[in-house]
Amino acid sequence: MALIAGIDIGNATTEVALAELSAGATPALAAGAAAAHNSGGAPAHNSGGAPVFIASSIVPTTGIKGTSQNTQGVFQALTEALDAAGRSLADLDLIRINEAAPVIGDVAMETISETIITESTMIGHNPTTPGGLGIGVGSTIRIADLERAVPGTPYIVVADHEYTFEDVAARINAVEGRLHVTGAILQRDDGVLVHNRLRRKIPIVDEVSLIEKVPIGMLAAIEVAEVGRIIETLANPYGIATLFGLTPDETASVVPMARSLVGNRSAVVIKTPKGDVTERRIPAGQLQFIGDRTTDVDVDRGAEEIMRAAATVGPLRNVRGEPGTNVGGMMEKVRVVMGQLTDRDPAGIEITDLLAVDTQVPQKVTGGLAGEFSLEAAVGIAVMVKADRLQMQRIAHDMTAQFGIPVEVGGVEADMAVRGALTTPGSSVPVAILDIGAGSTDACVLRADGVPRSIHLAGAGNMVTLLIQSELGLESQEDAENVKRYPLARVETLFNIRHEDGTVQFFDDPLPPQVFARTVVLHPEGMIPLPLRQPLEVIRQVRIRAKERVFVTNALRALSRVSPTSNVRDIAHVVLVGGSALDFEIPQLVTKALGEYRVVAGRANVRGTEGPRNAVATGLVLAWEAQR
Amino acid sequence: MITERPSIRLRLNERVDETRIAEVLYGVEEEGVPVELTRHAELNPLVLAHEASLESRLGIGIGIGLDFVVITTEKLPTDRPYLATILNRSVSTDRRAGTNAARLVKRMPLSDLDAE
Repeated sequence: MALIAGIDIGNATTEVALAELSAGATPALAAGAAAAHNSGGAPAHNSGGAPVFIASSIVPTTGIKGTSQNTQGVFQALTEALDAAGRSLADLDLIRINEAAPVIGDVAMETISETIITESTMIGHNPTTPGGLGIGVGSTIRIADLERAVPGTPYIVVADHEYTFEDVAARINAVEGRLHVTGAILQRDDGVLVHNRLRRKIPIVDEVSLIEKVPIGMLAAIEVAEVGRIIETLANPYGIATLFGLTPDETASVVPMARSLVGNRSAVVIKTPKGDVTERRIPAGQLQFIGDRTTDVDVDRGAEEIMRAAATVGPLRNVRGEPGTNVGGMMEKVRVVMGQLTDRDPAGIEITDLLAVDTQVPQKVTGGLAGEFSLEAAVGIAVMVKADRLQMQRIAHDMTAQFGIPVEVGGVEADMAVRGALTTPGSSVPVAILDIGAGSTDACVLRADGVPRSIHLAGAGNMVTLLIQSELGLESQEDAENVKRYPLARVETLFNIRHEDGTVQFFDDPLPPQVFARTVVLHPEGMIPLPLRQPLEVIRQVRIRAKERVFVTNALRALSRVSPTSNVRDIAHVVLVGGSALDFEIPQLVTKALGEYRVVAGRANVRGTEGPRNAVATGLVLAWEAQR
Repeated sequence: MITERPSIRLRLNERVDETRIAEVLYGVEEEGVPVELTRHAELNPLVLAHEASLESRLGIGIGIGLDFVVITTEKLPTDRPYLATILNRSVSTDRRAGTNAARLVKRMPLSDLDAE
């Protein structure tokens, strides 16, 4: 009997399949067919000599896939599997590792539009509790100057945090009858308190953090909407024109301002002679796609244009960014990182696939007075680099020295995954596998002739995390990762939550104050409150759209390239493997999308026991068997 | 009867000066929730808060005594209140205690009482 271990070093996890093989007695069966017949995973009696799998394990990959730091994780995973089987390292006859890192992916984000306010012409934000109601127009005046002000013109009072609400209210009440005060702008969160103490009610906008930048002596308009409503006049160019008496030309110039105020509960617009709000495209630079032909495309044209340009050059051999531009810098960074990882000259690194996705990023408005955010257009880009094959040989060599056991590099990762995936009960050749990992999307077709055809594409789990993080404006990548992985719920009362599907769950103990009334991620270790004000449904849609734009797009891209006819329809069965297949909704999204092409798609169940995990590790064992 | 109006009830130990709890009341007011104050001989803020919550038609009570601000709901036992902080630790913690009591009513996310 020989004890052999198949080890798959992935971007995120290292997996082991431990199997016993009866020496010599192996019939020359194709591994796929043998596995299909042995798919029950029952280790009992095995007269055919096919491998008997006795244990599996999974641990997080240490270091970046394809580097020597991986050995630590490999050792841990091996120990776990051997312990489970009651064996020791010395019993092992052979270790087979995947010919990993044929590709490495990286992601980046480039904002291509920005909103700039010059001379602070507006404030538009959503303080939780503004004061008063309605519209006020008047000249801005510091509250300290109020008692000396000349009657005749209406005023809008500006009070910084030095003034308490009692003081503000007293000063406004004191000039009642003499002056016409039409509104107030406060730095503190005191809008309601001031409002409650005023004899004549006016609209009040509070929590304006950079109040010292509000220009004084300028004509301003203030609007506070009713609870549950949004402002209507200041979000309408003609509304602004009416209040300020603008000419048609001037009205055209306030459109960006009106647009950026849409959806707010309160706003201030200040008319300064030179003040302006502009929206401009950031010249991000050009991408050059090099294949049979060469073509250039401006990044700020958006993802669709970029992908169209990429498709026109034939098989992609390299992508370059215009030197001296943002995208040039981004591509340079990718090359340097990849160069370091693979120990090669950055100049020689060739990008063999690129996925661009349009996205929106909440960005702090330049020149804003109350921390205003504006949704800016951005392009997310994932790239893929062909890596060095020798790298895994080196790891195998290191491991042989370290463990004292022969270590060999098995076949191409995707080919191994197909063999492993074929142990799924009910599957048979011809079959296609889709392995959506963290860094890349891999597809492989195995037809009856036994010759696998595989492909690696840029864009996978990491890109989804990036899209979620930037679109929701999350500061921590961990939060984005959690949003991607787990379902959401909203804490409704001390004792119940409402899941994203609408069902309610009750608890015996009160839920902690940190999660009260918040949208939470249902992490296996407990609820994690999200620092977001968006409704649950918005967060959920961002998550689903991010997954669709990366996973579904790539599933179709990958399958059409490995299909014998370049048509997705001509692949009958698709088995999903890898970590992303464990996701609570990705298999459904892909199944749904592929269903439109009449393709049967489903999550693998490797050896009938492992689910979508362990396909490559299992395949490595089976492939060795087939070789003999 | 005025007490039938939906409001947060605040039960204050009679030995605590009313000026010391102004910021707590302002916090509730800024959130737009009515609050009614009564004074009691009871010293224990846990008991004060619990009884206040039972009396409140909104089910939220604040108890202030022995230099503690305790916020609880009618559904919790006396000795297990929902929120508690030290009275007059700072203007902002007092204000936030009031804000949080009101936000429990409004079912809005609470602000961190321990943050400075």
